[in-house]
Amino acid sequence: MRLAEIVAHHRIVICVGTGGVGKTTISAAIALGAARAGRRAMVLTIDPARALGRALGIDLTHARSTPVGRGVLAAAMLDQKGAWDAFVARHAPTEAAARVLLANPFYQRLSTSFAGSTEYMAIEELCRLLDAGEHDVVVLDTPPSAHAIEFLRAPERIDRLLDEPHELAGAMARFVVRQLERAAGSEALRELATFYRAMSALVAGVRARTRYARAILRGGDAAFVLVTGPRASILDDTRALAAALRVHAAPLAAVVVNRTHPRLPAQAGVLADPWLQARWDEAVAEAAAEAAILEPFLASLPAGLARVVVPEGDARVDLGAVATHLGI
Amino acid sequence: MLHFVTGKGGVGKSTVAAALALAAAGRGARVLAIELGDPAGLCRALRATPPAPGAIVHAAGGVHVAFFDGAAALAEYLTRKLHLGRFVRPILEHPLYGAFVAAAPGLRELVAIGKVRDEYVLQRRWEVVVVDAGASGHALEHLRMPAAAARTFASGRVHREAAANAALLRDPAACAIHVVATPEEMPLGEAIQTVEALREHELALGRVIANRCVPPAPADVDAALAGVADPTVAAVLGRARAWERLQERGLADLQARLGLPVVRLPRLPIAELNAHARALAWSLVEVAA
Repeated sequence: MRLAEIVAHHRIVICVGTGGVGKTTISAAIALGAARAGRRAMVLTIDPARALGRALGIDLTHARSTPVGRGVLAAAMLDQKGAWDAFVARHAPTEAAARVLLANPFYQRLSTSFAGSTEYMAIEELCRLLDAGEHDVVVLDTPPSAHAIEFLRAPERIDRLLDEPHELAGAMARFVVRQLERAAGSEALRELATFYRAMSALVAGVRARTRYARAILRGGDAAFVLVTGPRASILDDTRALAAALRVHAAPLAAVVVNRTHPRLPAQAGVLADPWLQARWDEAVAEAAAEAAILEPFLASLPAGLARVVVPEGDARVDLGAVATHLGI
Repeated sequence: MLHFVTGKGGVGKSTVAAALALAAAGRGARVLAIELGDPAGLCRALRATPPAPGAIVHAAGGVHVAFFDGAAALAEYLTRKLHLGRFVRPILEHPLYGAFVAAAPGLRELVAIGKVRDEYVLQRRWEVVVVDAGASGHALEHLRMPAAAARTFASGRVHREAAANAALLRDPAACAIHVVATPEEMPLGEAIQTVEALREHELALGRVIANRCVPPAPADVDAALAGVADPTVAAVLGRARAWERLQERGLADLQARLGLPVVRLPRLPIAELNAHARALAWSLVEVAA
């Protein structure tokens, strides 16, 4: 399948890749392409990339929609803390229970800096947007994790966190509590107990959501797009990431190599200006080095994966041009 | 001196961290390079075999390398700090401990910084410690954690430990947090936000380092460009000139907004990372001093 068909046949497109490859740009260009094809598309980004908002002509701090051709393009930036707080409000049995949790320092850490917390809220927002039914396709720009695969593990991590410790009775438990008090102070342990007590009212609802999120990520509605760049170290990371996606049963559908350079004739005569000559020599050397690593990489990808090579654009991002290069 | 290196993904942080370590080692200092995230990049740039978590290996150029894995580091750290002796295993294996560690999310970041401080302050073995702190968001989480933890844990050992770590990260005489960017719109924008966040939290800001800069174009370059007849060559060079313009505008804008000078590192031909790190070390001798 070509990338355009993949985007046309899925309700969720998840862009993954290591940092700095232009994942946010590719995500936005895919959404723009889907809108140009007549769909109601949304791109959900994590990075507060103002440059992207400018390129889209949309203020990313507020969800906005703009008509594009026959379709509609909407963009939103994930507000992690706000999304967690809304999530708690939706799942807490009473307002009072929600208030206790929102004020708890352990909850505040969870909602801002727990490993997997951003990732999980991105997935949760994705599910919520789909359920709301206002968009035909949602493109998710995944957070720049140290390990991009953290994204797929996030629902499990949240699940594990909610496994309340049961063995609280007995001399050993009292001893452990004393040691933890020595380490962290008794206030922290009281807060922890409050956290688990308040969370326990939400657990059933949250577990149903994490189950739903897991099913969505592996189901037929979702397609993963792996974004990479033409540098040896990035391609190495990409190979590892593709393998990890297979292990986690994620439906990888396409690989996009972003910011490639055209092959150039080696001999162009001598330029009078040394600065221009130096830039030309750089371009020739880069193009040759790139071709040497990119061709074996593309050949090594499993059959059936769409592969798209996007040339480096101008310094200022032109999403329309990127979408055209993506063939959508 | 304790150096942290951060920046947007893909700007060459690990290479710059490695170059900084090599520059310090070149001056004769005993240098330890530490990776807080995935050790692959830093090890590639220093041509070291990735060490086991917590282990220290010798790399080329007189630098030593270590990386700290979250869970193992935390267990080791608590064991040492709490003097638990033979009770270590039952405690670490108890579900309450697991729950506490999972629900106190800042603890791992706190321990990572705590281990850096141990290596730097308490072990007299190193004169310079360079930390590859990962992408900006990840690094800020680590760097903000000691102060945040000192507030959350109002008493106990964790509080004292966190407060000492927070003080170190705010001391410009001991610590420098460097922000790396490439001279493009998004990385420069992220660098500005990172510097603003560091200032807001009163953390010890080091230098802003612009990696992969081309030299500024000569004044008459556009006339020379207009004279290029071959359309392929003209297109490639036209784009190079446009990039250079944005580089200069972006760097000037960053300097004006932050009121900080920028250290420029040259764009190097594609080569393996260790060659880059060694080449860039020359430009960082003054930063490493």
